[in-house]
Amino acid sequence: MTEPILKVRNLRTYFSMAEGTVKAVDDVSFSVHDNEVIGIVGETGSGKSVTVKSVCGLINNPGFVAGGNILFKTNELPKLQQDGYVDLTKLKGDQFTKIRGNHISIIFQDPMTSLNPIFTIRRQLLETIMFHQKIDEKQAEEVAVQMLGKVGLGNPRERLQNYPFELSGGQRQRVIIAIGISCNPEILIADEPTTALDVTVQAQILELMKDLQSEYHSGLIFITHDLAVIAEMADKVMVMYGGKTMEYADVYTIFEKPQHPYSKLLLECIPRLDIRQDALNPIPGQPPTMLNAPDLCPFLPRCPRKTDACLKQVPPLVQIEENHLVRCFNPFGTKTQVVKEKSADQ
Amino acid sequence: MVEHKLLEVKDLKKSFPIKAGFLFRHTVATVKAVDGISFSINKNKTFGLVGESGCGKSTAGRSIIKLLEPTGGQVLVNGEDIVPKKDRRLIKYRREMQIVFQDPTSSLNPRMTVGQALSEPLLFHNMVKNTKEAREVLGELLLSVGMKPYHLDRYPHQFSGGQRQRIAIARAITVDPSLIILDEPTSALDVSVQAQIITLLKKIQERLNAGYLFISHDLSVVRFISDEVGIMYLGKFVETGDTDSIFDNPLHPYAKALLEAAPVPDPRVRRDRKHLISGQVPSPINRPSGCFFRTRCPYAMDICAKEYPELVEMEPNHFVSCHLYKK
Repeated sequence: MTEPILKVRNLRTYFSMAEGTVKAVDDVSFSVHDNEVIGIVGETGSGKSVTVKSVCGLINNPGFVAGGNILFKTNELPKLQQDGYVDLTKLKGDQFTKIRGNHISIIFQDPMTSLNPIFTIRRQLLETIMFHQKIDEKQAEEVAVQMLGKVGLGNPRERLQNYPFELSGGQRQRVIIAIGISCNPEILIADEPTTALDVTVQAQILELMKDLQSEYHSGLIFITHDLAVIAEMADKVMVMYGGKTMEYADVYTIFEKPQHPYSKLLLECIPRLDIRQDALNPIPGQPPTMLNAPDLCPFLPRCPRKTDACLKQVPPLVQIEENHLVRCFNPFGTKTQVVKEKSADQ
Repeated sequence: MVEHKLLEVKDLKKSFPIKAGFLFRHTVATVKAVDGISFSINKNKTFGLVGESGCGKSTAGRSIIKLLEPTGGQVLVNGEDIVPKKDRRLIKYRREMQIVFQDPTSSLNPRMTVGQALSEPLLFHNMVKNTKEAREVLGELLLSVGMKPYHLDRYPHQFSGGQRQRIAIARAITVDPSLIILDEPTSALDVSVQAQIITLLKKIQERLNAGYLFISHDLSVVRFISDEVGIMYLGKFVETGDTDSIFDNPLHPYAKALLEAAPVPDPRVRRDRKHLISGQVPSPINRPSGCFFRTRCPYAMDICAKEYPELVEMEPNHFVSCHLYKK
């Protein structure tokens, strides 16, 4: 198999607050290959957005990357390269602008707030294109029209003159996707891109993202709290809880034989559209508070399979099968043996 | 004696005027947010109202309990029309009907403790004599929604979103209502908490024997909780009837598209969407002539531009409003 284009290793992103430290991301590892969709699924506060913001260098004070590496395969910044990878956690100041937007770009959840209301679509699209591609305005406008056509907006040339308020939510999200892909990034990150949209519009945007991904063969990191969307989009899935990677495997393994108690219980508690259910099986308790969380498994208070070992330390992320990592002392599979911690790059 | 239905909504209408002008305000157009919907709810049953944003489902819910004044139609509660009733004569019905909103953070007053917020309805309806008596009742009540009696002295910000929604539900059931309007009660919650709240709602329904009007855009949740559903598009029902019948065999092109558009949590059912509809919902100020869905409908015919199709019963308790279906 080819080398991954992005390797995130034991990433830790903390926020120091007056009340204590919030370990928003605490030991997260995953990797992204070309033409692959990584789905990150988790509930509010599980650290999924902070993970990808760390990858994009968008963590500001009081947040900081406290440990781990984010290795990105690129030709930029040759001085910082090691074996073809640049560690994004080591970048300072302006260095990140060579990567962000150009090689890694991000789409946010809310299409209402991620466009600037006082500038036209043209200005916002051209800004990105001209900055990264170093082309003149005329060429950039051609690129912009082409991109808007690609994302399925009718009359792209006229749309350029519109202000964001003149577009619907779905159209705005299309413009944002156009800005995201305009520089042909190796990795596109979509942070809950369809959460604010209606279901028929969501279906349109999901289809669009699948089409674009198969056209560009880029890596896509897709974040959502919606397991159904994950099932639809992802090749591999990382389940996050309390800032930690709980389980990481391909999408079929996660949905058909999840090993971590949290993944399994989460799948059992969602209502299904396609079948009649008599009862749901809710997970008792509340999601964890992240402030000054103890160094234990974050799912411990809600877990039905806790053991004595769980009360002593955080379980390591172990490989239980080829390409299947689980962070649990007592997972569902029987042939579990705690082998030494392995990385997630295969 | 005739057995009345708990709630019967007949041809409910609610329109909002759009005004223009500075000195001489005049109405330039009306938005028909709810345009003649009819359905009924029995005791211990749930009617699910689904549709995309702007289809009028929340306006319908609010008009039914008269938070908004309906423009037309009847709302019969135990056989009595409450639309013409005003102020004091409504109080009796207010006690029968309660509502739970989507966002518990904004529907609870941040400056009132849980105890204060929950004792208001009890005191207002003279169900208890004083605050002390209210506290005794409320302690029990909080236990029944999975909270603790000592939570009465806390403020809403001290709780998580799921707990706040439990408090909002507790407030709705303080007065033992027979009808509860649930306006997207789980949309702001996480998946694992959503399941808790849905299960709680089912438990409460059994205990109170109450009828629910469940308003949601989430089709999976509606399928789980509802006995009957109505799918709304621009203020009208396109399809209504028995839940399983509609979800297993949707007839209206919009219902088909809506159900097909929703992703399913199973990677082996990746959808090949045949009925994917393009575009978005037209503006409710300027609805298309004839059938409102015809501008996005793959099967639109000449007649669709001329007249709005009537609701016809295609299967027992399964109505559809589309020119493709004729009795």
